[in-house]
Amino acid sequence: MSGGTAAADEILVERVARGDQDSLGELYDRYQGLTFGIATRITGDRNVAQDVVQETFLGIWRAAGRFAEGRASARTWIVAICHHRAVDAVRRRRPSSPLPDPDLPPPEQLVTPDIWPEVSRGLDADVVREALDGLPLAQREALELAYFAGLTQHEIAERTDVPLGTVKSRVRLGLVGLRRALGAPAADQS
Amino acid sequence: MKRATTLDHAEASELAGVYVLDALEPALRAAVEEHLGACPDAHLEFDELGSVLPALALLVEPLEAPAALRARVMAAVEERR
Repeated sequence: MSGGTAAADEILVERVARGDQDSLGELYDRYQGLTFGIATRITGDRNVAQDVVQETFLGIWRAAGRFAEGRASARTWIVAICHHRAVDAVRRRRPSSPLPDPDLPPPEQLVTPDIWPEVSRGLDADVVREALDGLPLAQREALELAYFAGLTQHEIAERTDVPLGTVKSRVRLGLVGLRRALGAPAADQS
Repeated sequence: MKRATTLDHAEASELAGVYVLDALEPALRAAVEEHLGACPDAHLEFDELGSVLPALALLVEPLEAPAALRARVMAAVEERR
């Protein structure tokens, strides 16, 4: 393979949209490690994580036709589906939370575009870790509880003992700070 | 289906960060999506804030899934053709 692997992912998704199971298998081989890693990290349970991976690839199978409109890279799209499924799995195990419908595909708005791919392509984990560590502790904690533990805003407020409005602003400021630290171009307007 | 919450432009904007992180309860998430679907003005903040998430995913170590999972996934797909 000569550097064309990123494009090939998108082509595989297109084939999946036309009902090609072999291409789904190829995507599985490429992304099983990443999706199982994310699912295990978020659910903390390897058995639940396997269910999440299965739901992720079923989600890809069902929603591939809508990917063709192409807002994001295939990788970003697959990670978004997996993250959404993992968070759902965590919440299904918490009876206090209202249950999301497990059979609905992830909302399209949750798949956000790679709007600065020229920068993000060069990122690695060390750079992101450093950027995250550079945030004020409260902001970092709010982001981590949401992204890696799957807590809702109310649960974060309870866990960190602050009002809901504070959680919202910490999350927002944290994301803005991270984006800036990672070298994203300034937003046109906000 | 209950749809008690309606959001205006500013209220939806305020929820952009918790929304892209999938940290909203289902009813509020639905309300945000309903607003985004109907709002005539752009909500650039959702894409801006959400663009950070692929970077967060880089912090997760990939983990080899059990070998048997592949056949299970493909069988589940076959079932839903």
